[in-house]
Amino acid sequence: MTWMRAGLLQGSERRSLLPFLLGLLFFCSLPCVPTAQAEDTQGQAADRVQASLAAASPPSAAPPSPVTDLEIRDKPLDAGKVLLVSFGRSSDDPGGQGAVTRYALLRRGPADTAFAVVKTLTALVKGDRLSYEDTGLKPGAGYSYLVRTLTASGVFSDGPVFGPVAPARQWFFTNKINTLITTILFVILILAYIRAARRGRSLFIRRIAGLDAIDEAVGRCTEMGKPTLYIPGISTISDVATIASLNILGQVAKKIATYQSRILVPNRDPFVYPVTQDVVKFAFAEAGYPQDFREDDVYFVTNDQFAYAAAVCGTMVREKPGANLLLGMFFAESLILAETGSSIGAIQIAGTDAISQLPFFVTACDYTIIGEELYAASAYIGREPTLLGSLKGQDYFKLCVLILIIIGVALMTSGVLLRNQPFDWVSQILKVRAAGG
Amino acid sequence: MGFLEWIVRLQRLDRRIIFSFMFVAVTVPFYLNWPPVEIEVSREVEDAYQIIDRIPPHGDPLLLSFDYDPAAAAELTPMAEAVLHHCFSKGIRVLVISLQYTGQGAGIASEVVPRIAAQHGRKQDVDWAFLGFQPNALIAMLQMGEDFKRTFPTDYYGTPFDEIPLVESVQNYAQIPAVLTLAATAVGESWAIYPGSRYGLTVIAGVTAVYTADIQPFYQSGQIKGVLGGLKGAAEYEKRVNVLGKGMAGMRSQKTVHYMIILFIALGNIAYWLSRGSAK
Amino acid sequence: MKTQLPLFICAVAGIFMAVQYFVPAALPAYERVNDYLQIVYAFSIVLGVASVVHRHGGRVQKRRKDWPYSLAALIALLFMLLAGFIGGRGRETLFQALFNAILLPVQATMFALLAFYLASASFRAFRTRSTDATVLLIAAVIVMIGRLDDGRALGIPDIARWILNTPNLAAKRAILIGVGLGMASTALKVVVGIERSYLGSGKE
Repeated sequence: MTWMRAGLLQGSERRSLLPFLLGLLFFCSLPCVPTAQAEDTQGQAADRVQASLAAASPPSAAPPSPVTDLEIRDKPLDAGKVLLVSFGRSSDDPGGQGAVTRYALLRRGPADTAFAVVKTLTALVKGDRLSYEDTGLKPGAGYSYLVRTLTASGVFSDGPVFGPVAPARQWFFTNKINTLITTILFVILILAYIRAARRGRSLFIRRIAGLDAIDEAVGRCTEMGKPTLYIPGISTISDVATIASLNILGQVAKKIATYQSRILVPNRDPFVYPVTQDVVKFAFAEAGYPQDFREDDVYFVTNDQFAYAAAVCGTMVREKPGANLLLGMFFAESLILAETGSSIGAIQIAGTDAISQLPFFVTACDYTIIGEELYAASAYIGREPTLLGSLKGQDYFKLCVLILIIIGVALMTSGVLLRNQPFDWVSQILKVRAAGG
Repeated sequence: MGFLEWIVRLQRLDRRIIFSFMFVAVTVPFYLNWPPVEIEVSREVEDAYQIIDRIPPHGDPLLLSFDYDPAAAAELTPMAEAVLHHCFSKGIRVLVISLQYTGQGAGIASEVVPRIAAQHGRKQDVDWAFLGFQPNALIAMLQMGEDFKRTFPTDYYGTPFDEIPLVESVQNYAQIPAVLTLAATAVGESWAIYPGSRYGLTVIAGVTAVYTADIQPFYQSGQIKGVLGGLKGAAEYEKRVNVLGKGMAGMRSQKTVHYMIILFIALGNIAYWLSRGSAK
Repeated sequence: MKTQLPLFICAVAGIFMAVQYFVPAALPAYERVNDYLQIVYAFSIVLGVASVVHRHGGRVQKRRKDWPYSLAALIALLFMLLAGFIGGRGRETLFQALFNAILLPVQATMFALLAFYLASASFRAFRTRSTDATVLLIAAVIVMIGRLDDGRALGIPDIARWILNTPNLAAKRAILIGVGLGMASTALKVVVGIERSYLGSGKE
């Protein structure tokens, strides 16, 4: 637990319980996460309705016409816990404006001796048919239903029993078969090229100017005696761009450690922060200069987007780094960071997969690494065969996609020219339809 | 210093001068109600309007998701207000949530929705309800596809889900005619990618101007059925529902600023070419 | 163990998530996992608060440079906490008033800085140094005017719409496809254990 707490909080040897307790107190005030108590609550609600139905005064007026067209069917493509219930209105119900005010759906399961209410539906809804998804059922168990039509005075009538109907569990989303095939093809390509790379096959990667410029930037900082500012994006550790950025950070930190220079890494996400601290610390150790690692240089700022941007701008203006490396996921603060960096005369290398921020980086930075070039960084810098292989596999899959696009566009265009759209089925191949139908 | 030399020095114009001109360009139109702005309602906004307008009054609610933080409020709150005016004036019920992970979107929603509802005499929990926020947008979107109550067991004010009359007939997306997501990030397209394709939910997106271009592929493919893009989108919707507000007011400043930027770019390029000429 | 356990958890979780996407019968387990994720996600807020308190508390304690600003940050944090706990967060509460009066304008102000930076960046960067730059500049001017619905007589709004919806989208789609495949590849490497940067040093 000691290493976990130290690692989670600050990655340092000091343990301070007060901030953790304060955070825990804050957490306790947050709304609780919803838990799966639907069935219990449903049962309690059903009991309340049952009690109110039982307490209704004995019928003194003519009962309303019952519902006769109850339909129950299994919900397609699910885990076998849901039945779809639908029924038309009672003939005495003109859209909720008459005597009929509610419909109660009663269910009897395999272990039940009598029908019990599972849901009460108001008659004041639009449409001729009312529907409900009965959830929390057992796959394969038979359930029978009937609909009770109720008036405001408590007079009711029961419709005929429908069932038993058993919900069935499905084992494959048939509407996703196209996704499965493309996924399998993708995985096969990646793994095949990784295997080829491990066997010693030489794989070519084109030059990426932004990644080559990192060396130049770090060298410039060392000559000027200024630190390098590295911003690993503002997203969480689960973001692929952040993972790619951490790869580059390790390499950059090692280079900086070798040159005995300084690196500043302000973090926005509290989960990313201990990881970046570990990466930089290890890089310095690996370079042979563990004593040069400064804990205060890798720090957590705040998890508010613009407060983070303001703090980093302040760091840029005060510390005047020789190079700014903005690599990761960025949002609206990207231009603020890039322009401030430009105003202090730092060499700037930016890389992101956020398409909307690329124009700002291209305008304000010296080098921009666009989209997937960021993901290629780990393979490009390290030149490890496994990573190179996966990059090639990804590129060849892209080639397959390109060929499919060209064929598809040609077929669809010719379909338009032929006017009778004979190739419309082409556009349906890659569609993922909703599970309901 | 000659005129030519002065023009050439424009290339190195101090950014503070540019900032000063920008300040004037943004603020003066608010006080002068100038320049005049005439905008046309675009196809994307008209599609969004039609989808919302077709929702029957006093029936299934429009799901309105405040997925933005205060930084984007200047662009997206006018959209929210225009849509709320539209809904409340026609009796269309509104179910409000927020998937902005720090809860600031919920803070905005809790201020905007009651204010607009009060102007139309609409009652909480009957004509509108605010279920609160969930920090993880993706999980909340997928959970609501199965069960709203599981995702929001109480509303923002602590009322149990079962005790809110508006959601009596609402179980999951099957009872939601459409969702309008107001977002400044990829949450907007996540609605189309996940609930849109998995549950067939109709998605309308209100996004910041910089994000409008990112959303366009989804609109063109039909995954998103309507788009309100930036302050212009808000102004178009205000025009469509005939309730002019901050969207239209902001367009005046936007016009002045656009032309000012074009002027500065032109000056910079003139200076550049003159400096090249004088260097030769 | 420090490396093997996270790799194992990552592999199991990744494979489960991939399988549940194709298997309806796994939906209940998936929903349960989502509940757990919500809890973990909520803890990240706790961690954020704890990290802020630790950092600024340390700076105040050691009287580091600019420590009064750290003290101000801590006082603001505590004040908002107490305002929320004691007064609640309804419409007429102190918490909501502080949110509307301070947080909203402060964040909007930072976002508004973009307008100024955009102007200075445009002025500095938009030079007709080459044919590409000239085409880019002309397209930018047309879009800026077209977005205001001006120049209708010349068809500028329609040209602007075409620029945004055709060549611009074509480029975005291309980058999007590449990014999507890159993400899938990186995710696969993370699940299989080839990509370990999220572990920190990635070493035992």
